[in-house]
Amino acid sequence: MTGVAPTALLDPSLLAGIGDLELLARTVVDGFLHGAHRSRQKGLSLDFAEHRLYQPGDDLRRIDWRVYARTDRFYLKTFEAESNADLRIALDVSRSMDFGSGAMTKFDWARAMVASLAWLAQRQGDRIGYVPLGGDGAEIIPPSARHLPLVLQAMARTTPTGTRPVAGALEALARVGGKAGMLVVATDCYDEPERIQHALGTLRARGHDVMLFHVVDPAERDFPYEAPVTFADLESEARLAVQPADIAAAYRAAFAAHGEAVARGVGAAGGDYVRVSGDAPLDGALRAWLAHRRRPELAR
Amino acid sequence: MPLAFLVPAFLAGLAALVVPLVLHLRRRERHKPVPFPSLMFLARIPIQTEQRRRITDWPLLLLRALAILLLVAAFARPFLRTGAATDAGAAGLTVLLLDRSASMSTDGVASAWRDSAAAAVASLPAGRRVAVVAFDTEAEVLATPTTDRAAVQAAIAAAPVAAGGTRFGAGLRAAAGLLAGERVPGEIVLVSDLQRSGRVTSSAPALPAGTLVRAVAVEPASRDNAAVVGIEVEPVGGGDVRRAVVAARLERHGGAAPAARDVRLLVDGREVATASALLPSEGGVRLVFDTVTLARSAARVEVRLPDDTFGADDAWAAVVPGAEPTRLLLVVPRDVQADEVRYLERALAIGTDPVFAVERTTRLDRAAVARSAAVLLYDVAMPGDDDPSGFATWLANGGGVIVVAGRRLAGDRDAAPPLAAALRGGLDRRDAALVGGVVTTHPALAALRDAGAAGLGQLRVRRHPRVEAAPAATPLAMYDDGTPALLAAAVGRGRALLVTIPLDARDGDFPLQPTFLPFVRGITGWAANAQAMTLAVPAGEPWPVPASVVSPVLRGPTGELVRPTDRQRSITPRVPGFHELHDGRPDGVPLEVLAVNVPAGEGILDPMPADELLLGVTEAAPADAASAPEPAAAREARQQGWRWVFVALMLILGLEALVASRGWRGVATRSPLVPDPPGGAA
Repeated sequence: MTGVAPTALLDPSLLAGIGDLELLARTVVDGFLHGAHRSRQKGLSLDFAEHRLYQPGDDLRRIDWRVYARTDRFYLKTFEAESNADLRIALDVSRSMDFGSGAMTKFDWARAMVASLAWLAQRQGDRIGYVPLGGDGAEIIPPSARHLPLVLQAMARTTPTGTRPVAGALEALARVGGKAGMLVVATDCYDEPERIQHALGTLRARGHDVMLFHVVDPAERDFPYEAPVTFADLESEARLAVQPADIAAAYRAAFAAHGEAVARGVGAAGGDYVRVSGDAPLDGALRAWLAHRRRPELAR
Repeated sequence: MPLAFLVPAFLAGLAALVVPLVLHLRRRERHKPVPFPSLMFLARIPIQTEQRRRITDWPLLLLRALAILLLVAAFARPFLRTGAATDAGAAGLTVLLLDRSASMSTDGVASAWRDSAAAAVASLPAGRRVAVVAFDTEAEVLATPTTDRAAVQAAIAAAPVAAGGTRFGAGLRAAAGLLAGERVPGEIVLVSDLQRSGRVTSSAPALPAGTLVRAVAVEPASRDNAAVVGIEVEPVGGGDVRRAVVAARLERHGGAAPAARDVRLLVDGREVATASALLPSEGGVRLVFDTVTLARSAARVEVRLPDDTFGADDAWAAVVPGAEPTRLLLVVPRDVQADEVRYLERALAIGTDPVFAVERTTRLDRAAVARSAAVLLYDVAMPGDDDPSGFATWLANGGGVIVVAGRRLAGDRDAAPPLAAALRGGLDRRDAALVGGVVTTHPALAALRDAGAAGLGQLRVRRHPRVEAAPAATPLAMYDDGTPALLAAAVGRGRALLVTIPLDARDGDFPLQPTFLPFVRGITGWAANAQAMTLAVPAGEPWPVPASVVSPVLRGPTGELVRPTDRQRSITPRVPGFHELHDGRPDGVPLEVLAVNVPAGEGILDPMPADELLLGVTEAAPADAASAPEPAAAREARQQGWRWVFVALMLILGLEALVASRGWRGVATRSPLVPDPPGGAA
């Protein structure tokens, strides 16, 4: 990566070449923060929390030189945030996420986004948890200040093979007990807007602060097909032969209406809705999360 | 100039048009499915389900269909028809073939066949062209192809019924000639009583391929018919009074039981004898009359039966030639020895059938030539074309000449070549030459048929001229060394013979052989065209007019006049009875009397099944049927259209490749928008 500006790594076409999800997340966050010209300490508490081993990429100024003098190892001094929050990352692992017209599929893009977001949240002292939406539930990781590596590893292992609709998965998540906190949902929202709204309302009622990232691929949004084609549904495997020229307009209208309905539903349920495109840089999503994170009602 | 095809069978390839159609209909089914996140929005669009069975790419389908169309058209070899031929083919041609033979005058047929013909024409589609041909032994086109129905009906109404025999072959041949130029198969409608005797037997006509032949049979009121089918006249005794025994051959067909008939014999119009004959229900009898006396001149003999269903064959006419001899002019050299022509003259003087009157001379003169039926040049050179006797003209107009080549001609190298041959001196045959290879089928040698090929094989020739025959001459007998012994040739309408066999006893023994007499009389009779006594000729058969008649005209029994219509100066009498031949004005004493009868077989009224009509009829090759009087180069040029079709095909294929590889078509076929996901999730 020599000679490449850190911010450039936010570009999905470059991120697609990074296999290590942790390295990817840290790179993204560093690049994001470097480009934002903002203090990484901002918003962080000055109360000491623990020491941890230096890792490449860490700010050298945060190395505790006294500990280095005693142990001859680099440790970083970390501080407790003023108000620690539980951040659950719900990543849609349904098969429909395994679609992409560019360098990355929606799943790859969403995973990179939530990994970066988790890394950033970890920097801010939040406790990170992970819920694969639409999967079999075996990979659920409860929030913890030390669970970021587990979360990243779990996400790295995850493949989009689930078939459960996103609303049903969210409702199942709502039924699971646990401390309320922030919930970041990354999904392509292939479900009825009313059901999504109902599931998010249930989560909200349980005290979760929901932020839904609607991950959209340019191809499914713009429907650029021209030739007669037979589509295969990634989830149901149903096939449909269509003449794109005849139905493109109707499809785009239906897709846009669906997105708007989902946005209205999320808003009605008290959550935040952010529509992100699979071919856009990740900083937009991170910026949106930070804005969401800084909302007054989240300060505890 | 509408389009037609040389090989229309290739048009079956148009069935291949269904291939691109099916492929386009199944196009999406064949496509590798393109993964898509969810079909929840697409499934809600109602128009989508209808598109499954729709053609989705009309431009490409039309281009591919057009390519197949052009490929098929190129193989089918398109060409442009000429306007005239196309119009003819489009309208189609029906040849109405009218049987005008004698049997069509039978009771029940005579009144019905015109109505049947008119009805057949009326049943044809409007606009179809019709030609009318009448035939008996010969065919005559009464109406050329026309769409004018009134003209056709008029031709039918005016069609005569002659007394000729039935020859379906003649009619079919004429119809084939009319149909030969047609582009589409034509139709022949035959209106006839379908007499079995008229069936095609030889020289079968070739009809154009696909010609439809339809028969409209006209039935006679009754098939019971008695007929006189021949007369035999046998001279009896001698002396000044000519006596003869007349026998009549009678036949009856279609009868239910034997029946007696009174038969009358008329000589020169007078009834001279009557007899009663018991005719079987099916078969014939020979009835001999009492001896009758005949005039010295030609006698008209007629045998009559009572009228029945078919009246035309109830009488039979014959002319018994008069006692006048056939005149011959024997031209001999001035130095001829008495024994040289002795045997020849004696041979010509013996016998009465025919009787020869020999006039001997040493030089030709115009009057002698004109009154002679044949000239015998005994060892005398042929006169030249400019000879004052007019011999050359007389010969070309139908005269006959026999050149007997002997020692003088063989030794005279300056003599004009006789006939189509050249004399090359004489040959001495010490061992005696033999004569073989005798063509006894030739009428001049018909008398030797019974003797077989050995007829002339008994004679020995010690010396004879050496002759080289020209291709135009026909050798009728050869020496054992291959040189011709007897040559025949045609000179205009005349007949000529060259004899190199010595007719005297000096250079051979031919005069001593029993074949000498029939040989001499046979070749002389053939040259003089007086071989046998001609009693009668069948109606409808051409009769050659004697050469001596300058302006022949034939007066028929009903007074009609017939003149020769062809270059052969033959006359075809069609009315039964006695015809008189005149030269110039048709009055006075006739030069000759000709008896004409209904052809044998016309009296047998048994019809044959219609499908037997085409027995012996062949089908012309398609190329013959389609041939038109068009220059080969022009026809070839019109048939080069396939080249342009092929060029158009190449352009269409190029355009198709261009269209199929550009825009979304190229993307769709070469790089799917989304590749298969790993693991085959889709």
